[in-house]
Amino acid sequence: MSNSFYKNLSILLILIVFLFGFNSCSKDKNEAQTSLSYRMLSDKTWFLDYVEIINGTSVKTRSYLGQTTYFINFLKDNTTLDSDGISGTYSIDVVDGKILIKVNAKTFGGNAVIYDYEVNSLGAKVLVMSIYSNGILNKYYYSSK
Amino acid sequence: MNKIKCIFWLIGLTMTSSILSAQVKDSIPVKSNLFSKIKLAKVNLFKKGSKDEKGSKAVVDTKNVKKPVAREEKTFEIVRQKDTATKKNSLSKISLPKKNTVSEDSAMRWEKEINSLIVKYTPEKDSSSIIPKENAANEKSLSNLSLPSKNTVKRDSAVVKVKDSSSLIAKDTTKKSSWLSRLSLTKKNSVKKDSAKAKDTSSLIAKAPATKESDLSKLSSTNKNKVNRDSVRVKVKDTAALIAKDTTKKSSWLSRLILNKKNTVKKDSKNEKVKDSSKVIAKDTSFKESSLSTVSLPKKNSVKHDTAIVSIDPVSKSKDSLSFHKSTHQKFLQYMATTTVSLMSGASFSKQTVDAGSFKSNFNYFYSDIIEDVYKTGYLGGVRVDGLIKKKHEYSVSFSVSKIASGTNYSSSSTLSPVIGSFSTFKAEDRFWVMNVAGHYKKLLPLGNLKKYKFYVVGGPNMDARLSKASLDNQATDAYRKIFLKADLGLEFSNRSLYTLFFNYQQNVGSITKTPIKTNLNSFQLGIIIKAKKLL
Repeated sequence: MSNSFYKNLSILLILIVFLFGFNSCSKDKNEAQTSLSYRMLSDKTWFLDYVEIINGTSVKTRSYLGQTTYFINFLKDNTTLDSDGISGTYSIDVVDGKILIKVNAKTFGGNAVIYDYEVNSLGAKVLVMSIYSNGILNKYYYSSK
Repeated sequence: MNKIKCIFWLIGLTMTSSILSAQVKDSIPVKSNLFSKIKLAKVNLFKKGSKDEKGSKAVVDTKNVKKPVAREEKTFEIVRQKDTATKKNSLSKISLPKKNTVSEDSAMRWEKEINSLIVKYTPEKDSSSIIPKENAANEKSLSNLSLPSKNTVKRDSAVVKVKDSSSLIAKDTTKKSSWLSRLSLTKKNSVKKDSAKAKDTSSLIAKAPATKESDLSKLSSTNKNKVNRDSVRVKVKDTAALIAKDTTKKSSWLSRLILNKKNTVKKDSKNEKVKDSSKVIAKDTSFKESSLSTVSLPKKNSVKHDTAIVSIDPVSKSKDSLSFHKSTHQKFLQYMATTTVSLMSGASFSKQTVDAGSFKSNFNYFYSDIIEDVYKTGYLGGVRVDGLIKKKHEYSVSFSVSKIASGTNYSSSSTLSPVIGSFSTFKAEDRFWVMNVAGHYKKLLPLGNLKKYKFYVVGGPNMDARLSKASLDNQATDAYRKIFLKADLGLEFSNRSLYTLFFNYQQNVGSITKTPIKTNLNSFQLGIIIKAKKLL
């Protein structure tokens, strides 16, 4: 191969490296996950379709499809309101690769309700969240309509 | 044994060539305009040198010169004085047509006169054998020489008898110098020194430098100088061989070069002391110079290689730099002659096939929403350089920026039971900007009329560097690589060099996404290439 060919190639490679220097760094992965989660979650009404109660190896599944069921709204202004009248604020955090939805709300009676959901899977149409209490894992399957 | 044979062959060849060259040399026309000054200086120097050498500008230390050498110096001085006398007289009288007329008759005449000028030199004997009267007579005769014989070169002759010598090597190096007077002065002195050092030895190194001067820029001036050369005749008793070498050295008008040469000659002459040796080396060095530097440059190189006497370090460096510059310039011109720069643009049609495998994430994508098993259209534009490798193989290097839009097909899916449907945990990027660098080898297909149309099969590596940001989906997963390699295979159609149409198929080598996701991006490119010159 002639030197000229290598010269051309080397110049082009240098240009590539140079241009890569201007290529902005991608967002932090956690930040991106948070942003994506907000985008997917907010401004939607999520209806509860299934509930799985997992106690050790036993799994009980309840289906609410086709019924008047529980629903929850996550709005863009980080406020939440569910079908039980509990209203408050929510936030999304990513901790150790896990997406957490933290809800800080109050009942009609003014009782504070604080709970953290762990997002198992979040999509544009399907939301799977779980909450762990008293050694029992409750898994909620929502869908947006 | 072979090596020894080779050495003998080489020696034999050099001997024969040197003998032949020694026969051929002589009677080289000498041309100069500025001889008057030079010769005056010479005359003064020799006069001083014979009596009191303090006044001479030469570097040679003559204090240690012993008597026999002094005698030899006298012989040379005599001859020189004659030379200068003749030169002085002839400078003003020479006309143009006579310059180049080196006839056989004049040569014959000179031979006769040279024979008359032969000075016998026997170091062991008394130096009174030198006959100044003859020289004086010759001096007169030289001054009265006819014009055709001006260009002929006389040689100072010295007869050297050597006892117990087995070989004789006579070197005759001819050097012509320019109008610089210093050169000729130093040469003379160096000869003196050489002869001085040879006195105690049984061998004799006789050098007879002579100066030929030329000034090609002023050809109208006549050659006035009848230069008597110191010729050395060596009588050898019991000698076995005679080797005569003739190396001709030509140098340019650069004064530095000449000065360097002078010095080296002096040094070499110092080193040529031979004690109890059986060899007699007679060197006749004369420098040739021309005012045309371009012509003289290659000759300088030959001087360097032929003889170890002259070393021209600074000049050789400048030559090296010059030659390097020339060679690089030539290479650049050759490169430009065989290289064409073109602009290219076109469309690309791309599709990805994604196998997410065991990839897990917190996000899900419904297949029905994301699957697009089609080729989507993107576009590209850039610059391409076409050239030749080793004047045989055609190649092209292209540099382009393209927007890739691709359809995506997912070969694997996941479920979120009890939710019905198929999901993917990874969403492929469907559009991104890349900078593309491709190197193609082009093979001409013998199809159709090659004068009108040319078909090429092209192939080669291709590299894409992602310029655009990834989508938020892929920022969250960080699945895509920034650089991915591809391989190209395609066809090109060149229409009378007016434009070139190309059609390439590209397939990525490896995956454009990180493991465990495997993503194959394949695309077709269709475009046109137009030479940049034609657009300007």
